[in-house]
Amino acid sequence: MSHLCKLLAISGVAICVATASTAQDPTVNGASAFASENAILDTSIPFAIGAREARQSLRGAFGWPTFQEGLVEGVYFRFDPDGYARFAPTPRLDSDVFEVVCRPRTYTCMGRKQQLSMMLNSRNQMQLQLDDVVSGDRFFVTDGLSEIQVPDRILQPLDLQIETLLGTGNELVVRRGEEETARISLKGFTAVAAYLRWIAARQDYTVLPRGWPVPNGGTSDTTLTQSTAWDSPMPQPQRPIDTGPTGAAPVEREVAEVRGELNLLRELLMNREGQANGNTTLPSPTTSHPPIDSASSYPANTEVDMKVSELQRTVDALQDELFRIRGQEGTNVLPAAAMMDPFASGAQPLPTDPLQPMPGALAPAVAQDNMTSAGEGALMAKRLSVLMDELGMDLATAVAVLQMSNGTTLPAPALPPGPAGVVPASTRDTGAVGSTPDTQPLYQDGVVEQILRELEEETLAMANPGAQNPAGTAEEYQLLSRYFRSVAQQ
Amino acid sequence: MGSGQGSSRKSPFGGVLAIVAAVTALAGVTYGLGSAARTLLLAQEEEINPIIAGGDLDNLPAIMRGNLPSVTTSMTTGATRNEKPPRMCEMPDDYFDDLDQARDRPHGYNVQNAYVRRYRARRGFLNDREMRAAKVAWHYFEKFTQETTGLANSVGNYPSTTLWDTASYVAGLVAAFELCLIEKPEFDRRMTQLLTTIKGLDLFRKEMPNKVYHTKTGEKVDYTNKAGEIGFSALDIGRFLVWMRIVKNRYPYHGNTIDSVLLKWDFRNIIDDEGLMFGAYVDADTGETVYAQEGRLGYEEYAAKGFALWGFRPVLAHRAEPFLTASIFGVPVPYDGRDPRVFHSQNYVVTESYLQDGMELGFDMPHDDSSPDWLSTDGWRAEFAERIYQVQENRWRRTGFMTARSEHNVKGPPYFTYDTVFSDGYPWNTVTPRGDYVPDHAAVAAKAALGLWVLWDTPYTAVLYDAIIELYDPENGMYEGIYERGQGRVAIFTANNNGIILTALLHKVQGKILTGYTGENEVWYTAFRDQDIRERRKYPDPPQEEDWLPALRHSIYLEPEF
Repeated sequence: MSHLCKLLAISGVAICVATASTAQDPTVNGASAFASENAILDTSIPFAIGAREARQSLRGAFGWPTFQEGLVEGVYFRFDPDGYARFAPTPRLDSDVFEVVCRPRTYTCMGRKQQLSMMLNSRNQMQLQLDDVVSGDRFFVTDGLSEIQVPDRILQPLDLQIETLLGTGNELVVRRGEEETARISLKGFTAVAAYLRWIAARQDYTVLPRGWPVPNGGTSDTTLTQSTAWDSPMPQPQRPIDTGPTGAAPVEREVAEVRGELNLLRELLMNREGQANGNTTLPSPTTSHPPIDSASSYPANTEVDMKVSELQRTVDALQDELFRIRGQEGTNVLPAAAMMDPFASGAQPLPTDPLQPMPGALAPAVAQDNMTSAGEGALMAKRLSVLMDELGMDLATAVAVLQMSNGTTLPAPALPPGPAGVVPASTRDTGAVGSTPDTQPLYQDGVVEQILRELEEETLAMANPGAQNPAGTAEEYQLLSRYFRSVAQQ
Repeated sequence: MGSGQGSSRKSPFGGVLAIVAAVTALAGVTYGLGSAARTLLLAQEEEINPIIAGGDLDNLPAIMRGNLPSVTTSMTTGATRNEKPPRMCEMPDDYFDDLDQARDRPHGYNVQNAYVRRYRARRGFLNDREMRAAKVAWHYFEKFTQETTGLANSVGNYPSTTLWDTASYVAGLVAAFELCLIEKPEFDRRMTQLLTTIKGLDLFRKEMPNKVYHTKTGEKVDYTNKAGEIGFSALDIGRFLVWMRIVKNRYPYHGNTIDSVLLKWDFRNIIDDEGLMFGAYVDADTGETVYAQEGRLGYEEYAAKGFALWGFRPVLAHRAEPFLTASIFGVPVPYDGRDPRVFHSQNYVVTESYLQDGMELGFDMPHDDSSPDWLSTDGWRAEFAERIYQVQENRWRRTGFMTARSEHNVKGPPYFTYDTVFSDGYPWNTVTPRGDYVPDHAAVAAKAALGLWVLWDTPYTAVLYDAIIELYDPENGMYEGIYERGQGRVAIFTANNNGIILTALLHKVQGKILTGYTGENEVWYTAFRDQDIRERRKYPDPPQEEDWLPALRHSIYLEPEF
């Protein structure tokens, strides 16, 4: 059923784009195709290093005044303000041409060459469409000497591996039985894919592939089309008005990735706890795999991946601390008043700004009770820094975690209500956490849950300010599992 | 021996006498020469002509130069000035019986660098097929002229136009009147309304007309037909000047209105002291006006003649250099030598600009108002045009492709193509305004086909004629052309196409469209003489013989080169 829906959706996009060319000439002459509302690109923003904006040789009364031309990934390209582009290995753009057309006044574009069409779906994944392909047809990528068969899922949203394979610039061969029904050059595939994503992202360089020759190093502060600052007599690209699925897709994907990674970490933590407690819980399939090389999976999200890796290391460190705490049980018993609820409202509040120094009343206490040497103090500061900077905890939570790890009697600061406005259920349920050995793991689990939840909510808040606790869906969890399956196949 | 030696010795007295005699003789000769020279020189001095006010030796101050008449060939040679022929419906039946086309004259340059073409133009009355085509072409302007402004749409019902296309409308209007499709009241009404609107147009930064105007409102617009300004085009203005001169010379009673239109414009930046033409556009970053040389071989010279017809001296723009040739089917096709990679301006070789020069100006110099139609005083232009014709015929003969190439609109993306004989290093290159190669849009352009047909009376152009003359939609006008690769008609209707077709049909009846000026002085030359406006706006003085553009020749193409 879901496949049917996807097919319908893809067909819809294809029909929309396919009708774009005919919709561009609604009048006798088609001159209205050059209405300023149809300008979606600023041709002064280079698609790649070396590209330049040029003036069109207009003799008549209408047309696009400018275009951009350049060379990238071995193909020459030109595109107009309405997104219409041609990519070809020759500067004349006369043969082996990938043509990109956009639906008027939208960012919905489609690349096409012979029977091959490519477009982005609502999740910002590349989707191929091949004309005259029937069930049972086989697909091969050939470089003229050797060829490899491509799985049938080439017609499903492309994963990174297949997209990379198709981007090698060879030829895609379609065979029906032993008969070759189509042979399509893939020269320009990578550039067209990048171009489609670049359009969908409103000329944001961050969506371009790793290694793309982006001017100014591809910093994300040169992101949008700068249409408001574009003081030009020529038609200005429209500000992104709709927040349709295409526009929100990158954010959703990022959130889904982070959520999936958090779930993975949670499973890892639970397994390690189980092992530490002598449980015989079987490791989940995901944990049996080596650490994720997320950078190779999602090249555009390396920063997030690095943070997740750091989080994993930190959680491991926390786990070690927990084991150490267990070993010290009975010698460093936390005061019941403090341990009953580390977020008690009566405690002295901590500054919400992590850059502010700790209150004088608190710092000496910490120094007197726990930090018996400068080295421990430095270690504490470092841990605090990691928890706040790397994990994104607020100061209260970080201090609470450190308290638990060190078994201090530090009076717990009051924590403002969490993003969800409620105290985590696991924390409420534990009650006097740590008062007995049986309940301590539960409390640790609650803290980690709290950390993960806060991380998740903060990520969502950054990605989608208007959303309130978006819940993960089954599809979002599928992403990671699909990824692991693909890794397992390797 | 001894007596001989004594007799040869001279005395000192004799030597002194000889010296005295020689000095005396020299002094006498000197005196004589001096007296003669003095007499001669004094006599010449007495014979110097006095400077007469307004005479040839009178270096008139600027305030008085407007009173001088423009000097044309009919004034200097005493030849009969070309007069406007009668309208077709007023021509006697035997009008063409005595038409001298000098078919016995061999083709080539004469000593004045005028050129006799290999083939003559078609002349005669329009037959029924041609009259039907003329009526349909004129119907385009009847249908797509805006009542509010008198401007005609460039393309179908899209309400915008340029001065180039407005000139095409003027061409259509003149042809419709001369071919008796409309009568004088209708002609005058349309012309007056149009000129009045053009005079009232808001100029680009108070300088020259904007590139594009909205035909319903008359406001200046950008390429998306939204209110705004783009710049101005020297080529468009040059073509418009050609037709203003044609109208003024043919219908002097419109002269004052035309002069008042042009006297509103500021020519200080459009043409420089060396005679190069400049267009203007707006810098996207700074918003300032940028002036850039405009025009390439073909269009540049045609537009330059438009300026020269109004007294300007576009010396460099009128020259063919820098140009190169590309051998295509044995014909050295001339193209502009300015490298597009350096100058970022394409060097398209198309038929249109040569046709317009031939039909409207007879391939003649701007100051020529007396030469017969078969003689082209701007010789190299006629000779280059002949190459453009010949290479297209050769392509048809060698490949079978009917060829009449020009820039033309197409239906659907990219909406406009330069369907060239040569450009960017490639023959038969069909490219979009941004340079994409789009061979599927190659077409036999209707305007080019009929233009070739009327200027070259050959069997090949008869084939073109049959392909085009019925290519019309009675409701909208003549189609833009017919696709070369069999996709059918180019189903789009434009002012330029229909205007040029009407011009071609008018040329068949009347020959060279431009006629001599019948008046004496012009307001264009006499206005603002008491102010500094003429100096600031660079209004020219009436051209004298020394101001004429030079008539040049280039190496001639005689035999096929392979």
